[in-house]
Amino acid sequence: MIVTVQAVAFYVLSAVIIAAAIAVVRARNIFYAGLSLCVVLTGVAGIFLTLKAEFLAGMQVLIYAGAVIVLILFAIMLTQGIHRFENDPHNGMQLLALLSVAAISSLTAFILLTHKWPEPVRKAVIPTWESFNTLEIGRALVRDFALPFELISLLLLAAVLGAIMIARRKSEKGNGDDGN
Amino acid sequence: MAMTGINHYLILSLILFSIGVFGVLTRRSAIGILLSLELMFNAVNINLVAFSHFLESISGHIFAIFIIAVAAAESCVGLAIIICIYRTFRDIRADRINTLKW
Amino acid sequence: MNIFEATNFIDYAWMVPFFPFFAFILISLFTIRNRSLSAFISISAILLSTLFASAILYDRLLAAQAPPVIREITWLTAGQVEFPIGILVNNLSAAMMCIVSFVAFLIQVYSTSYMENEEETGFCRYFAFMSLFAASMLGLVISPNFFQIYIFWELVGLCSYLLIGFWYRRPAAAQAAKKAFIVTRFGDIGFLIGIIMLYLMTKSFSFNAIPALIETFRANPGIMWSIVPGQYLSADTTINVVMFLIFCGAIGKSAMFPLHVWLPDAMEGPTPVSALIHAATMVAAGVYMVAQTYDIFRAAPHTLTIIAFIGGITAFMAATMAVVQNDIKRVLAYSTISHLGTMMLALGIGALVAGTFHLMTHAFFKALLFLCAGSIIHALHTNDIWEMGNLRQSMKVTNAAFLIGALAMSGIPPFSGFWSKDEIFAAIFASPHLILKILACFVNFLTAFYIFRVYFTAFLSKDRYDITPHEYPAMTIPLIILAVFSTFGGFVGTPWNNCFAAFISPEGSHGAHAAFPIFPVALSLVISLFAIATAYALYAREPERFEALLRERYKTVYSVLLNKYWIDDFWNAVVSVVMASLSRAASFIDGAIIDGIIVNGSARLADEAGKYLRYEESGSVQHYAVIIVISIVIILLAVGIMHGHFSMDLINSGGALIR
Repeated sequence: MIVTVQAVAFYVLSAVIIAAAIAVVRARNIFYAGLSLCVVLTGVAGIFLTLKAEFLAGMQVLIYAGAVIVLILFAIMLTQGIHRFENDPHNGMQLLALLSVAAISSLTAFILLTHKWPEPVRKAVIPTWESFNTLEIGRALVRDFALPFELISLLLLAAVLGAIMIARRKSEKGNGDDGN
Repeated sequence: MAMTGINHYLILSLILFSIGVFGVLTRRSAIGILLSLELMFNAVNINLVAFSHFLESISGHIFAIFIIAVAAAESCVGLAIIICIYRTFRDIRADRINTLKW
Repeated sequence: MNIFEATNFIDYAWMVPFFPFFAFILISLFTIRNRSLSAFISISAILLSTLFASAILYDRLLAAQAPPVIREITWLTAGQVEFPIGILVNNLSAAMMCIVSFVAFLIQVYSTSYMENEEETGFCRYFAFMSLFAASMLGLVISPNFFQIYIFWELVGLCSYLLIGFWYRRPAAAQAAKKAFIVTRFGDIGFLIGIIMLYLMTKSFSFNAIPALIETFRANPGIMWSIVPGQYLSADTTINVVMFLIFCGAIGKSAMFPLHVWLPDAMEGPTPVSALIHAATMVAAGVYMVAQTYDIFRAAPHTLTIIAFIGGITAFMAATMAVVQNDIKRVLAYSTISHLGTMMLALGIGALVAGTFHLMTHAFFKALLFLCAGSIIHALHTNDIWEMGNLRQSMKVTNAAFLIGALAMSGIPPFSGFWSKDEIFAAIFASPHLILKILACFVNFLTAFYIFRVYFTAFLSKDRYDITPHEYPAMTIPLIILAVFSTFGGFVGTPWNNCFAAFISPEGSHGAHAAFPIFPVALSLVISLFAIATAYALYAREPERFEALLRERYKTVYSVLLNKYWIDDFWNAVVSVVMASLSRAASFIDGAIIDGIIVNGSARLADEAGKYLRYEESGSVQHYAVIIVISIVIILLAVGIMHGHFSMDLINSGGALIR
């Protein structure tokens, strides 16, 4: 039995991701939840690496673990006045949520595992260093996916402007705002 | 045991997604819900990249890139909304913000 | 190009009903407030129609042996069934068109004077309806198939309703209009069923195609009906039944027994309306229809016998009831019913020409009598003959006209009624039915008797009123014209040179009166003269005394007659019983089921459901999210089970895929 690096990496990373994810949903201190999320995101970047998606792994670390986490942690820290140590970070729906989540995940697992995925489905992940998918991603973005690429920039612009408008403090004297 | 096929990645993605759903349904704080939402996004990304790898198509990568971009934008806007809600309700616990009801 | 070139201009025969219809549209949309303009439009339209119809008649006279001009186009198609409309110009329809339009023209001219006291929208409305009626009647005359004739049948019924109920604020008039419409509707139900059955048997509506198709049906019936399940009617019986159903339309429209009850009440309308619709034209539509489709009726001899007897009974009953009426219009109404019965009798025993001839002459003298009555009513403002008297001095033209009309009606030569009535009389005496002969003699006596009762009471004897009656030229001129036609119109049908017969029915004119029928003619003449003499003796000098005497001596007879043989009451009872029970059932269904369960029930259901379902909106987003997740689970399960993803072998093989 060949024990590949991929396999070991995969299992270790999976364990880390799952543990951190459970921490995200169950931590009492919201800051700890944010930091656990950072661990999850980095772990996911590692999973991407095991799948030979190096560009995406880089992107994941840069954007997610870099910017988004920082944003969230800033938001937590800036709104720290809101969060005291809550006695119970959960609402009363835990049992119901657990049951429904268990139902849907088992159902989905059943469907996934009993489905024949189309070929080619490689049974093992064998690493090669010859193909760089950055080139391929670049090509695809400007050829097949040019329109979504442009639209994404519009979307980001809209999101930024929207966030500014929503979170803006209304001025006291009523100049320059037209209803928030 | 050593060879990891597509099913492993799919199961990982599924577990991560389920934990995210659990978090969304259970977390009281709105920021906590956003964090669980990020878990769900990442689970989807793992799924897409796995398929992209095993079916030898680049589209999965592209889709994952877009999802990352959109998720970032969405969490940005979501945090802005949470700040706005805080100003109105002085509280961001999701089970207390329930005045739009019968 | 000569516009009288035969085929081309007759193709435009549809314009004959079109002119008055166009006048109706114009008047009702544009000139409803302008009296003189409305009257002008209406009269000129009907005049145009008269001229056009005369041109068509002239053309047919020149080429009487030519085949009938039939033009049909398919108007509607419903699957296999085609509904044609078109025109039929044969000698009968040309003559009828001419008479209808001419009489309508005269009556409209008369109406300008009779209706002058109406306020302006009433006056214009009257002319609009008169035009619509003329259009409908002319359309009926020109119809080449049962579908079209049914359409115009209903249209004339509608116009009759509108015109009888013209003074709609009077409750009696409104009731009479409703009664007319509903009673004729009874007949029309039979008519419609008959048309449908005839179509099912022959796959055609056209008058000229059906006789041949009936014969093929008789030889090889493609469809059979049964009343008792299992036992089917033979082809002959079926044909007779179907033709009787079609005759039911004529029973309603032409006021035969037992659906005659609407015609006396229809006298609530203005007198020119009574003259036009209920004397000359609309009620003749039933007779006309039977005459036009006579080839089809010939295939159903039993039905013809029934028609003859119904006609005879109607004639006799109506004549008896006319003797006791005090209202001059009622006398004339019952007289109309009686004459229609006579016409149907003639048609029933096979005398097509005689019946049609009487139809035409009756149109003239009955219209004349009604217009005279109108003249009197307009002058004296009363309908009761016991409030008239000595009009011979004061209304000379009316007197002469009424006398001519009465003589024509009684069958005195040389007036037109003599020739037509006695042709019928001769035909009756040539037929084998003894009862009909006896009835005919009675009817003859009573006809002359009742009309001269009216004449002597109203025009002779002493006057019983205070005002001075006047005559108006717009009224007297049509009277004179109609009187001329009543006098000389009969000469087209003299037995020794019957051009009318040759015109209407070339093949049938030979067998009937090869020899001049001396005995029946003489008999009828004697009876008529005897009746006039009796009426003179009783009513000329002291009418009140003799009237009172007769009522005293024949009290029971009078009560039967005054109660109209209780037929009205019979129909009232039937209608009220049937209608009341149906109404109760319908009211229950409407109230309890539709209102209660369906409408109110669904409202209450929505209300109650809302009351309980609203708690689902808890306001908490996470509640909604849980519901979403659970719903996804349910949907996945449902779809999966439906598509068989959860069968056992799949689970077994699925286990093999894991690792």
